[in-house]
Amino acid sequence: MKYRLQFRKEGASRYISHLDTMRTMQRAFLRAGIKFRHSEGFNPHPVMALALPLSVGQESECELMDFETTDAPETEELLRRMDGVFPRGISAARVYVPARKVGEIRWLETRGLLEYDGGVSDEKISALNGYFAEKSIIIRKKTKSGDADIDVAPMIVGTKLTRLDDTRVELRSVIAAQNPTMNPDGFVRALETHRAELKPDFAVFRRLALFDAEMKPFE
Amino acid sequence: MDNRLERILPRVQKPARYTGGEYGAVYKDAADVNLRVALCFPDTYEIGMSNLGLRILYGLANAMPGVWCERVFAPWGDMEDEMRAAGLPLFAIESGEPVGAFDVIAFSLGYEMAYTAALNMLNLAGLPLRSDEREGLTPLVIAGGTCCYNPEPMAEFIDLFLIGEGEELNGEVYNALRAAKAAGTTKREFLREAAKIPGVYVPSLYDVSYNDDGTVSRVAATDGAALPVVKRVARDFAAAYFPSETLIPSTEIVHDRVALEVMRGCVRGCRFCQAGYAYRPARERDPERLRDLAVQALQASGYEEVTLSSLSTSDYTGLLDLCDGLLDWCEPRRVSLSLPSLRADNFSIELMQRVQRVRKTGLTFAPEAGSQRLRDVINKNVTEDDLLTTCRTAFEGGWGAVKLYFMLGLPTETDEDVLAIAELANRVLFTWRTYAKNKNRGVKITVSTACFVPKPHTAFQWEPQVTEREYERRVALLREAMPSKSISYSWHDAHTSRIEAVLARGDRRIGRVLEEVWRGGGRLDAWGEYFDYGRWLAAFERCGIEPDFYATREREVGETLPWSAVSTGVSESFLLREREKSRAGTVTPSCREECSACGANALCDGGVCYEI
Repeated sequence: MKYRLQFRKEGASRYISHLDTMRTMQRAFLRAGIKFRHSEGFNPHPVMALALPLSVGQESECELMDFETTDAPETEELLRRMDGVFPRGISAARVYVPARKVGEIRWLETRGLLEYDGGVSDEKISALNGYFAEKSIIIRKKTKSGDADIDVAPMIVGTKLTRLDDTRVELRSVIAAQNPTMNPDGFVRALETHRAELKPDFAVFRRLALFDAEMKPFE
Repeated sequence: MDNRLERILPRVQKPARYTGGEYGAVYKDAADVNLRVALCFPDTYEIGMSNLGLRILYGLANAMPGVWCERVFAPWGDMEDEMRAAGLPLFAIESGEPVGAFDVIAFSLGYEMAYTAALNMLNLAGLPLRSDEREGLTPLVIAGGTCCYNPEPMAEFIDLFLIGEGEELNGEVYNALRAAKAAGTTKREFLREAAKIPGVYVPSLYDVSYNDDGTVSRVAATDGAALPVVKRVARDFAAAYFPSETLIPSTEIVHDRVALEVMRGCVRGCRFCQAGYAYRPARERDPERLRDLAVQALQASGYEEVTLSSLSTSDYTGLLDLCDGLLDWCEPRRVSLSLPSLRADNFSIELMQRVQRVRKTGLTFAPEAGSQRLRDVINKNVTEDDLLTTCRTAFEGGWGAVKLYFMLGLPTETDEDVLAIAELANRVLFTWRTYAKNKNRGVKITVSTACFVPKPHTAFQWEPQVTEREYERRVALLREAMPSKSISYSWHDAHTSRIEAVLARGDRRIGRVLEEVWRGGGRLDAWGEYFDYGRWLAAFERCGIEPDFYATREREVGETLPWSAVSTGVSESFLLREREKSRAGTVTPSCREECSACGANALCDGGVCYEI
């Protein structure tokens, strides 16, 4: 039976890498007594996949993991079994039978927390908003054949920055989730390359929601 | 999370090592506890988390009401640099709070080369290295583990050593400290009191004097401290706590599986083996209990591999019963069973076929010496026939990889003994050519040699280590004798072995060398990337210490050995008898065949270890 788990990954668990997250979820499911279906072949492995790999250090409220079981428990029963089996910071939000393929995800909403140790002025906020409203936002990307400049503006649908307090700014944006993928780190990298005076001293991003090509919530 | 830590983590390799929060990690409210323990492992997370002892001590301490025990590991170089730059002191990974504010800092010392890492951790915690420079009662810096059977090299830094097994001892010390804290006792008073707990060695209560030739003349106990301090053993190993519900790391570690401790100690009596003497008497767990523990541990962890762990698992009497019971559970669930450290002489066909049902792992044997003569000298009672018969069975069963471990520089070793290693490897190759079922895939025979390091409390504690040049000559001799492409040869670095030999049998004066090495930049000397031989030589020079005095000098029988204030329960007269027998090439039967009266039986309630 095919299922989809939506889970949160925050706090200390945001440092668990993509591969380690796969291993961690496998073990957690075994602890929960969930019976993975295994692939056939010489080296059988549990049938499971995480959508949209999350960079180490980023948080998420909407991670998706598709998995198959050999039996067909109720989704509520699966969710109940997942209680208390994950490391700190990972928590199951929903289990459901998926109607759509994760390949249909096109956009995601991200929130960044930008820290400026030297303080945030109103001018800085408007400069930031102004910069991210420009028609092209170039970041330098390392590729196999050397550095390449990429315009990420088409991968961003509206970015809004607001001041939270004396040193922190909240960034909210909707960015391309896959094909192509925009890593939210690109916001910081773009500032670093072009507007060093606006670069935060520290930034952490959090995935909030997923959307399809029509900007309808994906589930 | 500390804001400084949060900013560092994105820049370091494998940040998940430093954040805690793993499944099974214990979190308590600091306001509800009255003793904070930092269990410090002087190596990386991946190594420390692979240590079963750490999980046992963590589980037991956290089961004590009012005690919160957390873990601390040595940061890798990149992390250390970032921590120092940010002014972030060493922290425990559960609470993230600075170790310097804990009540107990407990080091696990299992490998001599980790001593500098322990010193570096004290410094990172913001504490003075030397015990006498830390005036307050807390943090109390304690240490346990196999290295503490010779506590002297670390004696200047550690307030109190726990000698032997920690199952009960650690808790007794925690409770004593808790009482002392409540009573407002001074550190000095507390240490005097704590020294009355059996198994506790307080180095500051022992005066060491030296002869003109540099040897120790006398170790004298003051304030009524025990001499010697006899090691502790778990009251009832068979029933003792096993961490079947334990920490499951969220990132890969070295031994990432359930390790089921089937037995503690070893019945064999290999004369070079410190663990073989130090963990006496050998004690086993019941196969039914072990099966239940393994199933509990597998279910509670989500691991898909279980390994049977002990000093010599093939000597465990319930092995076949246990494997049968376990495999019945494991096979339908795709859980694999592995059996490390098997001896060639009783690795049966039957057992091999059972393990093979789940997964075919490589074969590993440790004959330790190439010739039967030298194997008799070291009491490694494996014969070439046993080994070749086992290899034949394995090759017939489809195995194609064999690893053989040896030591060079064992007492009485001659060039013939060295060359016998090559002959043995060639016979293994010949056995494969004769019996292998499928020769298309080829065979891989790996020969590894380490340089023998004489260890305290063994029959060889008086023996010299061979010089580096001599070890290297023997390596070259062996290398030339094994030209076959099917045999690959790797050997341990001579420099590390020499330093290990100095530290293993060092006295208190070695503490200055350790401090000097640390000052010179020594951090993680157990790692090739960080070990710098020149730094050690410079430190010896600066401290006026001649390393050969410790490494290559034969001790006179009757010389006061630096570790004489500590006893493993095995008598020196037994070790001397074993030494004499080794020189005569006479073997000693296993504890099960015949009691050799080593003295360790007195550590347990019962009279004899085995009814014969």
